[in-house]
Amino acid sequence: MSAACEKLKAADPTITPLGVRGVRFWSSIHTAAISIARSYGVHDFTVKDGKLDTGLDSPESIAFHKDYVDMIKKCAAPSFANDNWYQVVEGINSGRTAMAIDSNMFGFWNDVAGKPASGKIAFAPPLRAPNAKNFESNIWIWSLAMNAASQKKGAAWLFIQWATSKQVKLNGAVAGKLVNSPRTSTWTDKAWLEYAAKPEFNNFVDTFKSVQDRAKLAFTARVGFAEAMNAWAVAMQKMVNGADVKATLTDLAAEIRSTM
Amino acid sequence: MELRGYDAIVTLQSSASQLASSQDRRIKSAEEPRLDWWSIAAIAPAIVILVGFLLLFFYGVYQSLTDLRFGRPLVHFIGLNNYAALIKTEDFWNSIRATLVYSGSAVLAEAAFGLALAKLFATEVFLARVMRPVILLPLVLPPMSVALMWTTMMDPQNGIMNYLLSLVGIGRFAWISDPVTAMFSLVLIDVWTYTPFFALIIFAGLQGINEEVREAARVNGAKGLATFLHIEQPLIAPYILIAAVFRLIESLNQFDIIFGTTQGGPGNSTSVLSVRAYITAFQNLAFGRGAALMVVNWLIVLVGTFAMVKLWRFVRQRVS
Repeated sequence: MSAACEKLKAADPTITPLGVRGVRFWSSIHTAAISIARSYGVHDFTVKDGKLDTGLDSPESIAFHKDYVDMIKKCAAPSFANDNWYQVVEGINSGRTAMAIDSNMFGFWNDVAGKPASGKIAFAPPLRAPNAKNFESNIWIWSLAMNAASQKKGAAWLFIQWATSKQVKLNGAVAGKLVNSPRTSTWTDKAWLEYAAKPEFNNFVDTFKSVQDRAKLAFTARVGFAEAMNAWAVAMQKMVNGADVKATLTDLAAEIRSTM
Repeated sequence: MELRGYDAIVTLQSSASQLASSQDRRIKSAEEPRLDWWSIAAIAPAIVILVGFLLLFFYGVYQSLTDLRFGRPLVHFIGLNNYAALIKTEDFWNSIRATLVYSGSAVLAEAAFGLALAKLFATEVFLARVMRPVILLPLVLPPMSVALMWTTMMDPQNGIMNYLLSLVGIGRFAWISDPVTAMFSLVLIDVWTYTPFFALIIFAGLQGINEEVREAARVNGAKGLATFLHIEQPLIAPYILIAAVFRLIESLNQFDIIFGTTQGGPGNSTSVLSVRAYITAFQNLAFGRGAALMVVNWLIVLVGTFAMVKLWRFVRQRVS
């Protein structure tokens, strides 16, 4: 990736080779960073002697962060620390950014016919560690939930059933561009497959199918998720700005352990 | 004669006794506690509002003494543990430093530029008269809009600021994207937004100086700079200080501009107390710890304001 970025910069100095989130919150971690980190064998939390512990100061984590920080320095925009998903989308939409590591739906939405970047955005699985056999991909799903204290559980259940029904999911995908439907029925439906396979979407369907086989939640679900992941994002900014990787990760792990 | 004199004495004694009894009655009535319901009704709304504010504030202080956080079903009183944990972290002291650097630099720069602008407005130069209403525009913009506008302008790659610098041969500047330049950039935004406030207050002070005082200085041979330094400046000093009090309070509490641009980054370079408190409470969901940070911020504002008001009183006494 770093070599590709240098070639892109040499070809056009005004272009940003890679769009990637860098704001100091967990939202910067849950796309590019955590997916690539998993291919290095990094775990946000592990169980040691029956107790939960952070794995962010492991040798795998140090190796990942060295490579990732190097990639950001060579590829990302100088405004990395202020870039959120909307800057990433704006970059690929306007053509100022050559590549982006983020949610695939941002590419899909901008490939829709009539958009300025329609047909110009293709898809690929996330980057992986140099010695890894496979890529890994974090999955991030917005869900519907029912409150245990609800007095109208029947009505809530009916609503969830309706909102996640085959017809609504299919309609959402085709008419609402709510891609990445979690229902198998959508992905076997002729209407959706014909739409998603249109030339302007390039290799969207094939890439989705190959990624979904390996996509899973890469985070450890726990209370205090935001606090630990925000601290990780702040540490990432420090490392990109020149702080020593190993020392910063040691401090990060100590900070996370102090809150557990 | 005797009778007249006696009568007179009786009359005097009677008047004296009447006077004495009337005074006694007044003293007695003053001593008796009486409820003036109309007065109480008149001030009742103010008391309710005051008590409401104080209750909320003290509830915040109480929260800072608890381990209140998301996902914890029970809340425990933990005394000063939150404060003890905070002062042990380097990030806390970094936030204190960032808060003081931000507010100190912004207020000093705004006072200096505000004074220059006010002096310009006090002249009859055509451009100054035209600019008088225009210069107030940044003050009426919502701070979050200001932050978003400057974030776009300060983009190192596509922002207009670097384009303007390139026109005069200055290379790319990192602005809010680098920890070294981020604080300077934030102070610049604050100065752009709030310098008109200083200019307005100081301009009012300059307008209030009697022309005869300036005339007397000129008669005594004082030139423009000497008149400004020895006549005008001491007279407008209380105005500068009162504007500084208001701005110091605001800048020590500044949130919108900082969160809207850097969110406290890169790293922790602009993580002032208010931003850290917000992130701690509403992102990390550690409400007790966040409340402790806000109480520390409040204490700094209190001490800073108290010192500035003392200085203002001292200067005002010297001038009067």
